[in-house]
Amino acid sequence: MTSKRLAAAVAGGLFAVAALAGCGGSDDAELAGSWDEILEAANEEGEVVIYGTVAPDNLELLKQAFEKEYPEIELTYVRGTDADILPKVEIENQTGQGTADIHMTTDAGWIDRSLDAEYSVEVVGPSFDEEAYDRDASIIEDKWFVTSATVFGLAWNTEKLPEGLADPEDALASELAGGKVGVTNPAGIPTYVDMYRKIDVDFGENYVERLAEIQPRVYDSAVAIGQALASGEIWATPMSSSTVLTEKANGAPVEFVVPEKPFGVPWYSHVLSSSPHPNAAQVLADFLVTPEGQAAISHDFIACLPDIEGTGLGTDLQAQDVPLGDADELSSDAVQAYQDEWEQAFLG
Amino acid sequence: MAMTRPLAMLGVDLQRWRSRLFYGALVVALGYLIVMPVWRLQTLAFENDAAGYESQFGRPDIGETLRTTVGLAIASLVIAMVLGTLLAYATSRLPRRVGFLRIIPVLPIVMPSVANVVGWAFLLSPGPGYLNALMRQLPWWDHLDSGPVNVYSSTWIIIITGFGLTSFVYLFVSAGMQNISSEHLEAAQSSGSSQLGVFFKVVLPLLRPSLVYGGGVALLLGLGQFTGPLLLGQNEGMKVLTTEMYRRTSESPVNYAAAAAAASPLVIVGILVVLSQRFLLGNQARFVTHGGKSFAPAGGRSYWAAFFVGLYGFVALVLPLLGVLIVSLSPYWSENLSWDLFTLQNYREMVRTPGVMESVSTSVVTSLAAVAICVPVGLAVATLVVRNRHLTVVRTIADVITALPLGLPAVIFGVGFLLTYTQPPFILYGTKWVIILVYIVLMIPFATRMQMTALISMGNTYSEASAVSGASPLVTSLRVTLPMLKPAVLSAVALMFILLTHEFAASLMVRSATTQVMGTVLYDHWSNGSYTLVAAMAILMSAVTAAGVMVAMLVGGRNVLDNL
Repeated sequence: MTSKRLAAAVAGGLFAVAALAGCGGSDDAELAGSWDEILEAANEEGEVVIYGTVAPDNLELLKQAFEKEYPEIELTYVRGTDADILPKVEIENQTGQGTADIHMTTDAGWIDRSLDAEYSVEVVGPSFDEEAYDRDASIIEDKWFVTSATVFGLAWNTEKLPEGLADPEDALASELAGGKVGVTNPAGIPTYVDMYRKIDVDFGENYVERLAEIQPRVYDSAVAIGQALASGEIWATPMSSSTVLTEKANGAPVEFVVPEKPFGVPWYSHVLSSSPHPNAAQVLADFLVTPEGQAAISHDFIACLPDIEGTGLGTDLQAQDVPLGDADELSSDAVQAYQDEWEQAFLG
Repeated sequence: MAMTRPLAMLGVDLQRWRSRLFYGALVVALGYLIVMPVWRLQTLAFENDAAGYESQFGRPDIGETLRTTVGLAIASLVIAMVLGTLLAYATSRLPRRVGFLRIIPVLPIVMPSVANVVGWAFLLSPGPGYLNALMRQLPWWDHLDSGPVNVYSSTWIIIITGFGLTSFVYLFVSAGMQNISSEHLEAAQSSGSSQLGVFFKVVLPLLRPSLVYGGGVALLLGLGQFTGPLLLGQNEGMKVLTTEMYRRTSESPVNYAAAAAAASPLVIVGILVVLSQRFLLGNQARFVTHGGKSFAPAGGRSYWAAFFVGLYGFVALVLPLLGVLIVSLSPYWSENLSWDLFTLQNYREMVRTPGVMESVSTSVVTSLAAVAICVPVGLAVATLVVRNRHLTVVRTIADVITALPLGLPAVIFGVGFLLTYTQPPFILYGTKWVIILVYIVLMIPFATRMQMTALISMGNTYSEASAVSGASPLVTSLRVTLPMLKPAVLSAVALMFILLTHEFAASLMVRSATTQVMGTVLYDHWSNGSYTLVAAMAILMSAVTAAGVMVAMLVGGRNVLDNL
């Protein structure tokens, strides 16, 4: 009897652990018919998940703004580089075990390849048809919609380098050699490959080669460079994201300027076909291109709607004005070849 | 009478076949769980005319990667061997009053490795590193505007890795040291040998087996090093085989074949070491060590030993924790410190940050679940190996399979599990189950070996008495063996829980974006450069582990860590 009780206790314990661990997996959800029905179904789903390479502060602003507008839907965001996120999106699509509902990226090559791979569904929200959004210039095959854009600029730590940087050439000064300049590693991130190719022409002859010669310190993302600047780990960078302005607003000793010929890149988003919350996904996609959504996601970036406060970086640009990279030049093989070349120059 | 004999024999046969079937099924299940992911990964490297090998070993920097992997392993091994042996000698000479210092060399194993590594970065980053800033106050370095130490250089990554491996070498060497009788040392001393002479002429030669064994384990751990090179090495492009595996799984599309090819050298070395260890242990079992009444382990009263152990504890534990603590209390990481700036804001932000508190619960739940499954499985394997000598083939296979995770780096199992469980028949990606399963694999050697040792010391008499009294094997396990193994099981539970709550390498591979454990969330924030949040998380991780240690000491006794 005692042994039976013990066996039952062991089995019960294992069962409880299994229940605690949770096997996950959701019921197959479907997109409702009209927009009102979608809104209702989204509230019932009660949850939406976005993966993005945009700065964590912007995703937090988006969460607050979205949950204010749709209090019954909880937004979860996951911030990472394309190298972190793209494999996850692919695995979720392959396994059918979707976690993300919306995915935001700047990778032109991946966007192009995904159109043949049925990663996305068409967006149906009413805000995409607003005149200010300019649907024809903003949406690719009714699936990928332009959401925001950024330009990379010159940034420095004002305590370490009070004189600052006037143009990209200043970042190559000899006193900054040996690890005082920060650069991004293009491994797995085609957008950075595109950036290195462009600045090699626009910032001055053989700029990338000369940049490699001063032995800069290498970081995984532009966001990490912003933090390293704020801490004084590096003194300057010719490829800072405008998010460093958020650090400046928080009191960090940093400054940011846009050079004469900046490199810019738009973020495109799509609703994933493996989305476990297809209705909430459509609601979030729609919200992203509303003025409230833009004020959050494009804060200190370039908005895809006109006249959004806190966006634009002091220019009249809209995200639609910033061209997406050439997909042919950003194929997997081309990116890998550049990556090898870059590693030889910067880490060799 | 003529009828009862065959019936009784039939009953025995049935029982034997039942036990064969049970253990056979157990070995098949363990084989699927432990061997299959590695096997699938390695066969993938050979597919399409070995495209994986071509992709990984055709890279222009592969020579450098291999050299760095071996160089890191050997150089950190040298540091670990020297420090580990000196520490073991020092702890054997500790005065009785400060005997509690014996625990210090083991503690780095308990401290989360990610917390330790980021702690060193906060101290020795060439710019705002606190120790660097202090050193720049010295007259001969006051002209520097960064450095003098660069924690991102390969030299310092080796030193930090060496510190980490020191504990492992210490464990083996101190166990060997306890077997050295004081008679030897006294004889040497009375013959006029100095302390140093005793160490080099008596202690070291007697320790040779422990040094060889501990050195082998530390070499394997060094070859599989991941956390240090990943977190610190990216700034200057340091590449080792494990970080290459991670990079290949971060490509789009994921290049499993190349990751598998990068794993191959580590798999081969790991299997060779596991098999040779088994061979050597088999031989050793034939020898009786000491056992006479006259044996007396060496003791001592050297305050220099206490100072040395204390210094090691300060450098390996207190300093990195201090670095993490200061950053966690600062508004942003900067060399300019001021009491006025200290704030708890980072901890408030940490609680609010999405995913952080969930990762704590995921770490705890998955660790508990893995431990709950590991204990009965480990007991079954231990019983098979110790008590079922007639099942020669099955028990040998079980013994080797359950030792395998000790020989292979966790990152290999991580990639293998990612590959295996994102494909039919078991698609577990995105669930906690894939984390639980990989944790089971990583902990199976501990669960099996700790219970095996206890079973051996228990002997056969109790279970035989139970069987003679008519109890089935299951009843004997539940009512006789398990209660007698309670201390060993509790120690194993405690240790596995502590090790799993800060597991990083395998978790990083199998986690999904929203199913994360503490170490992987910390790494994501480190990659994003959110240093203050990283520091607060490192303190949280250390606190969870410390809570685990305290619970372990409560249930398993004060000496629970000695069982490592």
